[in-house]
Amino acid sequence: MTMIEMKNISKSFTSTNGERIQAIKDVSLSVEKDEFISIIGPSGCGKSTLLRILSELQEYDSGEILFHDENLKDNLGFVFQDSVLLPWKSVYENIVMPLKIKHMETPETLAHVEELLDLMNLKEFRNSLPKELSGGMKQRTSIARSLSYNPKLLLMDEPFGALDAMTRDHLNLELRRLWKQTKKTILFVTHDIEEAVFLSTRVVVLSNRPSTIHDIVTIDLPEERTLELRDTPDFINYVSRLRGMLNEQS
Amino acid sequence: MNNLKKTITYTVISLTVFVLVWQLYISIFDVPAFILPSPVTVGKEMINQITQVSFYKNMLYTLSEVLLGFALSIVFGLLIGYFIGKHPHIKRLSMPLLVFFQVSPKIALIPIFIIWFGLGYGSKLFVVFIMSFFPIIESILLGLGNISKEMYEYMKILKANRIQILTQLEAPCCIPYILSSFKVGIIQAIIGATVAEWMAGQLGIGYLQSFASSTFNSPLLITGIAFTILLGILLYGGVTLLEHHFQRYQEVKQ
Repeated sequence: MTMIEMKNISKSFTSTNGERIQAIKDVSLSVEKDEFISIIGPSGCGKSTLLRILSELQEYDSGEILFHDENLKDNLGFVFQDSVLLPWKSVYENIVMPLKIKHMETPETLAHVEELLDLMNLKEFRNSLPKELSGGMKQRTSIARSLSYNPKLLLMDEPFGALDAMTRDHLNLELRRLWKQTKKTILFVTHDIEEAVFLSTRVVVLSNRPSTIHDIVTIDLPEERTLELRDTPDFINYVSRLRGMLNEQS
Repeated sequence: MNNLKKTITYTVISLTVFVLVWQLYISIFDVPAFILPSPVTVGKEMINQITQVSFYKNMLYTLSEVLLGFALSIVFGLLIGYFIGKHPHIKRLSMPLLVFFQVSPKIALIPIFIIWFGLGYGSKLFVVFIMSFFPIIESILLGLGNISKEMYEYMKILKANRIQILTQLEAPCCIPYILSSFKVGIIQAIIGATVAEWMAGQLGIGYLQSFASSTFNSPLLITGIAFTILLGILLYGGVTLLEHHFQRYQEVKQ
């Protein structure tokens, strides 16, 4: 089932010195339900712009976006690179905040928050303030927060970009497990090729500016993904194929 | 609780030492009473004052100026500050004026306020208002300016409305800055009120001091100063209590 169809999306900016910069050109992509799509590309190519357009944080110049379920658009989850937690609220209060804003605080949704705390290993930190958390814990909280209102679509903009390699591996495993358990559709922007291959069902490779879709690679790896998978020939093949594509771009 | 006891003990000790040195200085150098009266003389004058109705009239007059003027500056400061903060063009237009008024020695402007608003209550109220108004505006601009773009984007993702953005994001982010401005503002307000009373009018703790000064009544002058300080400590303490209540929002500043 198709969830979102993007048709010929284009977007340009005016830079600080007055130049017109074409960030995205004629990007067409359809997102199926329950997919995990990673978007990779040379730095500054407009990967994030694509997510920001989808979430209505930015406008686009031309093209069309079709949401096959209108409810989707008003109820999507977004995880930023910085956790963007409110510093005066505890982990629990931060996670519950979207429910308050959306007037969705019911026994059911609050029970769901408890499940999320459990799922993201945040139980013992529920009363901690953000400043007491490590980078990984902050990002866990941020993910749990974006899932509190049970969105069907989750957009993630380099959520693990600022974390160290160990924490990142750990969170990759957890995110993959979360995706399988909660049946979300995820769009994930990253600059890390291994991360993209490890997590995704499909990887979208964007070209250098003006960004078009260079290729879409379906990742045909076992459903059950462990860190050891990264040492298998299949995995390494995907990575080097994608790396080759990216190198062509720059 | 233990900490409070310690603070009180130290305060009592330091005040006692201060009064002893003062008394000693007068006894040793035989200072005339009109230049510096002894603590005992001042103490007598204090007791004399607090048994008189006129003293309470003066205290209440000053207190009401400060509280009412401060309340007005909070209401207008918060409203105007938020309005300026949310409109970049108006912010740019008003910035030179804000800087001008912020750095201008407002004490020096009191005579003109007296011309505008008369010798009575009005001019004092306006002085208090203007003293605390600008720090409050500045604090809101500072607080709003410190909210990151991502925070606003997060609210947008949640489809929060304007009121929710105000109550859930902007107000909490401004609270610590506003409270700091209250601390500056309330002291400024007391200075403004007493100085304005010196210059004009016939009531208030500042008037009492100016009267004492012109009649060389040093014990009364020092009594007036002491009660001005006491007023300042009480009001400042009130703001500190408020700050304590909103302790959690201090995280915004880190």
